[in-house]
Amino acid sequence: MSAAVTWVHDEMLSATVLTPGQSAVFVYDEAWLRCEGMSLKRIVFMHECLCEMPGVEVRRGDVVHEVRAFAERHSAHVIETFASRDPRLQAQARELGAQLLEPEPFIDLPAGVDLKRFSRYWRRAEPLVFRKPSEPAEKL
Amino acid sequence: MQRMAAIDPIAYGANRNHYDGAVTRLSPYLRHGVLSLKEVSEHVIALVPTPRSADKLLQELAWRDYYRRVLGERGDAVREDLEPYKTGYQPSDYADALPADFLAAQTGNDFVDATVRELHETGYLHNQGRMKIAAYVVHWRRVKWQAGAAWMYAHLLDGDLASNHLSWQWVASTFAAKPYLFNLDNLLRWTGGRFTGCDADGRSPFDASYDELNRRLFA
Ligand SMILES: Cc1cc2nc3c(=O)[nH]c(=O)nc-3n(C[C@H](O)[C@H](O)[C@H](O)COP(=O)(O)OP(=O)(O)OC[C@H]3O[C@@H](n4cnc5c(N)ncnc54)[C@H](O)[C@@H]3O)c2cc1C
Repeated sequence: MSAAVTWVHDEMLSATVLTPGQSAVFVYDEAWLRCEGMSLKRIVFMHECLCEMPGVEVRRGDVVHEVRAFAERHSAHVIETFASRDPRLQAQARELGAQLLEPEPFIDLPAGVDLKRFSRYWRRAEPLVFRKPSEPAEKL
Repeated sequence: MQRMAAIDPIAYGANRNHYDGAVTRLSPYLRHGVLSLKEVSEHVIALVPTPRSADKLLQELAWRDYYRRVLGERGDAVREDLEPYKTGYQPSDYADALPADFLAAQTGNDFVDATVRELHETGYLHNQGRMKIAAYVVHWRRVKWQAGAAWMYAHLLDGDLASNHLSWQWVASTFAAKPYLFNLDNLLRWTGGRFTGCDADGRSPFDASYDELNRRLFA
């Protein structure tokens, strides 16, 4: 019996997201694929990524329903997944009451940076992007 | 991964805008989290003497980060016009749906038809191809950017609500100070002799100065 399962969504198709010994499920989101008219090539690409993730159970249908049923089958009380900025994945995670793990950010940008134009973001992001990995963070 | 090993940040800086340039084709892997922006940027920085030598590639990776952050802030609102069009037209002046000749790659324009076919067949377009086909749809055919964005999103292997919809809005000018336009000289320059840019009658709708195109296309 495991306390937690991993819900692998379509922004985390890497074996590095898996926790050893923890069951994991991926669900092809039927409503999304149909409603956006997703190409077969895209589905094949996702399938190829999943082939590199041995042990992940793959299902198709209603994401929330399938993940919930998977957690129940594994007697898990906790569903873990990666936080996303996509409103579709956010809504599904909310509905599942999933525990969100933060993927490693590209840069540690302070909250509240003006995003109206790339140039405004870039003014704050540039020094962080061009910092050598060994350099300490500057105060921005 | 082979594609990571093939990255050449210096060549990328010199020729990324060219169809034959050293682009990475990492986008489907980044979109699906097979690779993270952090992993790629650290790999890139390790390849060059100083991070500045990879400035162009690091800045393009930052565009992805930027669009993701805008999506985080605006959510589903990115599907709607974030700002008015700066073309002199109202949203109601634009058609709701893509024209049938466009979707069938039967416009007669060699650049347009080949680009539509390439997207349908491969799920990938070079950034220049994406910008130009988006400009063609919105400015030359006067179709709402949403129709083009939905079409491209469905066919791209890297289809991403943030990068796709916000790039379309950038081209359309609903997320930029002005619309993106190109002309025939620019098309020929970056596509390396692949196309004439001409319609079936041998004339090109893109063959004009930017001043002339602005007069022709915008109110
Ligand atoms: C109309 C339009 C629609 C687009 N739709 C998408 C989309 O759905 N998904 C997507 O990932 N990108 C999209 N882009 C951005 C860009 O065209 C692609 O990321 C890029 O062409 C992918 O090819 P590459 O991996 O060889 O890029 P490279 O030039 O090698 O760049 C490396 C990485 O940096 C990022 N990047 C590069 N340029 C951009 C850019 N302008 N905006 C955001 N990120 C960038 C991508 O993650 C890319 O994989 C769109 C651009 C336009 C103009």
